[in-house]
Amino acid sequence: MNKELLSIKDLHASVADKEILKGVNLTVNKGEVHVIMGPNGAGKSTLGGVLSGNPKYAVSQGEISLDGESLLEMSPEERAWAGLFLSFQYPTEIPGVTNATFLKAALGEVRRHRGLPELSASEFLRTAKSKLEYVEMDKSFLSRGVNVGFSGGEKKRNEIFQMAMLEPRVAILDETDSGLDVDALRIVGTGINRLRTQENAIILITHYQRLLDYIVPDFIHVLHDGRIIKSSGAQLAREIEEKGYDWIINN
Amino acid sequence: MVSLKTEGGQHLKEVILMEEGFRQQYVVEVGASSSLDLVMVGLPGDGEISAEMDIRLEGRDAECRLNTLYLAGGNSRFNLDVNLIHNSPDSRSSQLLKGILKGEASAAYHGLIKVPQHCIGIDAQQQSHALLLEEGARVRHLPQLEIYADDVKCSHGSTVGRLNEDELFYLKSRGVSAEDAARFLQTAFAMEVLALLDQSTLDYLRNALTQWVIM
Ligand SMILES: Nc1ncnc2c1ncn2[C@@H]1O[C@H](COP(=O)(O)OP(=O)(O)OP(=O)(O)O)[C@@H](O)[C@H]1O
Ligand SMILES: [Mg+2]
Repeated sequence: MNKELLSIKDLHASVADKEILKGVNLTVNKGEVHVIMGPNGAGKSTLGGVLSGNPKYAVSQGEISLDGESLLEMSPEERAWAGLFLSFQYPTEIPGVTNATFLKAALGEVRRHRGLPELSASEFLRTAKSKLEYVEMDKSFLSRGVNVGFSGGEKKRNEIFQMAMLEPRVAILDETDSGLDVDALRIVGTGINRLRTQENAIILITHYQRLLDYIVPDFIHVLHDGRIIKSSGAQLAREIEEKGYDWIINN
Repeated sequence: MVSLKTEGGQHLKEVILMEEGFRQQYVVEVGASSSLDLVMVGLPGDGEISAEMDIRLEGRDAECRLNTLYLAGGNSRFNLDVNLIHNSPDSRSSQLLKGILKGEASAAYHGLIKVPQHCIGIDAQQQSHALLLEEGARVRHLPQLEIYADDVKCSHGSTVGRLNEDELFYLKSRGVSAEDAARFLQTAFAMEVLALLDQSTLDYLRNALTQWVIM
């Protein structure tokens, strides 16, 4: 059985003609949780953006595949249908579009492309309510504009709520722990952990150990200047928190 | 020419549907303590729409609200001329124009607000906003204010924009199709005017509207 889910090979990408990713290699297997750490500006969000197909990044070299299928030729929506999900570091506010109508359309497309039957309005609502519980969000959030006026922490919970609804095969969570108070951190952390299965994989981008108290990762990678310069086990996050990055970068 | 008149404390609402080939001049008069709500929807199809509104506010506490939405594609043209005169002190007007254009469509709006010298206590608002979906579309929104009185509250604003790339990407990254993502944002843009239409009008327009908005 092939366990490989996501494969990134020699990925080079630039934004506004500036090369940010300079040869990233990463293989993620089913059931694994990988963490990407690294100093500000290293290219972590760029990697998330490139994986999800954000048109503002240009890929000049390399390959990305999800379950053996090349992603680079796919549009962002096709990648979502194939099972990719990005939790944004800064989720976008969309006034005038409610969380519920947007998610109903998104889930409808995702299910259709995965060969699943359409959900009725009441089935959708029932599913949404049960998934809101993962992140202890009130159902009133369904009828509000997408992220509009949400606090920083509420936006992050809304991202994980969407992940719970869409059931991606590979989820990239970009600093989902940033801006959360201690209770929200616990809620989001345990919420993400509940979404972890033997069939999917999660890539966590973070600066801190704290989220990893709830989600124990298989690997930690350090991204620096557009390349992964170190990969290690879960204990690396604590070392980085104590000693910073210099000892890794200068090695 | 069509004339519309409200007076004697009457409050009137009129919905004007403008479809391909529509060409009309309206003379509108609003009397003291009366109001007129005009909602105009322009769907030029592949042809042309031309409307001229001469609006006079002729008494204290007269109020006119003009809310317009046009959705223009192909080679269509949309023209709206509004001449609005506050002929009485303490009268109010508000205009909102929203347009979405694609293809080679073009739109022109000329909105004149006139306040003569003796007319104090006026509140006149004018907003015009257009979304250009494609390079070939053209829009000209020309507000014009002729204010000769003091104590006038007058504000106007005009914008021409495109669909927000970050918003589109966010929706698509969740699996919403490119077409629906655009329609979601167009719906949000048009909603202020769409919300003023009753169900039977929306039902009548459903086929024409679905390529632009999600209802
Ligand atoms: N539009 C742009 N033009 C030029 N440089 C850009 C642009 N967008 C991003 N960058 C640069 O790309 C680099 C990588 O940014 P990225 O957001 O991927 O970093 P990051 O590792 O996620 O950092 P952080 O930990 O602060 O979130 C940064 O130096 C940033 O300034
Ligand atoms: Mg970042």
